[in-house]
Amino acid sequence: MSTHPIIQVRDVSRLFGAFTALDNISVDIRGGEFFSLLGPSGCGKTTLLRMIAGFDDPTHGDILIDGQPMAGVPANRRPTNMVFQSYAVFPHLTVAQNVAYGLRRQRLDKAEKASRVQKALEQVGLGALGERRSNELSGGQRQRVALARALIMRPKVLLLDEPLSALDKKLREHMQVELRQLQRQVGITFILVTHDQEEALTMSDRIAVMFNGDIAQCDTPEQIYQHPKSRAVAEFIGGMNFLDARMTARNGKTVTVDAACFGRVEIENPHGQDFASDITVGVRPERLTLLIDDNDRAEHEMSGQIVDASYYGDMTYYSISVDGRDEPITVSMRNTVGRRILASQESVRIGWGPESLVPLS
Amino acid sequence: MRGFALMSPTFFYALLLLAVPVAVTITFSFWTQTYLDLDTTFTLANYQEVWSKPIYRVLMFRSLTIAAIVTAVTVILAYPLAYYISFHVKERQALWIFLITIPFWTSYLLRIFAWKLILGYNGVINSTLMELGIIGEPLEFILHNANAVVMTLSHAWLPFAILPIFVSLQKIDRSLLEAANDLGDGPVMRFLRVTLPLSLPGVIAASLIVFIPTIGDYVTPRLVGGSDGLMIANMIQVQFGKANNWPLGAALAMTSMLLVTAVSVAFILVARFLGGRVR
Repeated sequence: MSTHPIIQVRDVSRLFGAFTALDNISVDIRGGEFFSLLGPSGCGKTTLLRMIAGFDDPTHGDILIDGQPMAGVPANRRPTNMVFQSYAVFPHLTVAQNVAYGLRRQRLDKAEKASRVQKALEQVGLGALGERRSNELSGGQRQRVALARALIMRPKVLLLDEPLSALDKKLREHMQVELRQLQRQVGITFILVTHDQEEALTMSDRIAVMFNGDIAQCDTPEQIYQHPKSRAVAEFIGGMNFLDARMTARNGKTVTVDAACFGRVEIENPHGQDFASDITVGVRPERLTLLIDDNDRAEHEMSGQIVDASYYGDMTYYSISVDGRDEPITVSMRNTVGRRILASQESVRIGWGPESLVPLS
Repeated sequence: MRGFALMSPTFFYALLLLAVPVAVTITFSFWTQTYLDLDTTFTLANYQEVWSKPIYRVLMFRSLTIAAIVTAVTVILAYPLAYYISFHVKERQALWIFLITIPFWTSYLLRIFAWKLILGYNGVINSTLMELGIIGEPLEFILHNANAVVMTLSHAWLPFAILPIFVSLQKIDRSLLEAANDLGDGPVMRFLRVTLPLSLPGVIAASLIVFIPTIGDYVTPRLVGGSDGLMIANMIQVQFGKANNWPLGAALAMTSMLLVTAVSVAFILVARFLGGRVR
């Protein structure tokens, strides 16, 4: 992966009448990275992808691909290719003809064309299906055809518009791994649009989380998950407890907060953000521990009573009421060997450390 | 069983009004007219006459030619219209389709007479051109010949051709067009490689809808065709009417029916073959 940006989005806005689909967005996407645009429907992620592909134009701002401004360059002249949400496999052509569709301009001789098509089909595991018609394919196979058809063009950037959303859960998880491997293998920049946070977390090098036409945070999956900048980002990705708190001091990369049941504590502020004095503090359920044995100790402890336990197989989520807070706090525990599932009404101690807490704007 | 019950009224209706008349016509075609009576001994003499006399061959060939030209003109005029409504009309598509059906509000005969008034010797076109001094005397090639038949029939069939083409264009998933674009095709190549082949079923349907009834039309050629524009159906009408030779008329009808079927099947096969060759 290089640090050289393959795509530069500069101050891009897109207005549809009075509706602002994208509001002055800037982002650089690096060559060779797997980049995801993550957000709820209507957040503008697909609009941005379509503008990179050339199916739509920014109202203001520029998009540069490999240093070249793309204003006025139609989709068929851009070094990008797209895997459509509906896959858009041509129904009147066979699989091999679909894959060969874009090669027409390159004027290859028959043998070379056939060998490139075969190679592309093998790359996506469809080597034997070249003569099939698209109506004889399953959803997963159609998606592979769409993928091979785009990859054979050797684009600088491959755009994927919710490619996995139509697949069932098992196949989707399998394709996540496969897409990631394929991306490493071919070394092409992938831009994935998705509303599925898990998909974005497992596949991406970096994620841009978008809300209401704006990028709320653009970072690595770990940073997005562990250090969300805002409550909106934290809420969209994974589960989190939110606590109202007061900020008493701010010192470079740390802030001191006074949070009801956690008391006064100095916590990290890795993004160096400014906060109002009324601040929200977030705690992920798995960043808290239940101290079940009497000899279990933690840096900080608080006591509470279990209100409810939800068993998920690998994990159990407990709702625990604690002093100084009306709503229960959610704590998750991995169901390791020998650990019993606690019943409601049981009294427990919750262990935590300052690194569990995240300040949110 | 339930399916049969559902379709049986239609089925019997069709049987009564289609299969029975065809069977009667077939039977007649093997008989002979003897002045006022019918000789019901089996004979192929009628077919022999149909296939050997030049007059019938000329009329048959002319009918096929006129029908082919009407079909081509109608489909070529209908396609851009259907394309425009499907791809460029964003709102009120239903209104556009509705407007297209307006010609049906007048009777078919009245429309033919309207064309007579427009194309006639003292018609709208001729008198306008003469008033403007563009021509010295009325144009005669626009009425009472095959041209007039083509013009009148193309106008009459246009809405029938627009609708199937429109439907087939509507059914095309728009992301297929974006995909073609994305894979390097400009607007022209995209049309030839994706839009046209995918709308081919509509084009085939439109062609048959126009072609088949045109061959059998006898009102239009009668009213605007003159003697050069007469078609096979006029001859069939004459046999069943003035000439009073029903068996010969039946043989002519059966022959043209077989020819229409053969031509239509050949057309479908050729169109499919050409459509399948688009890459």
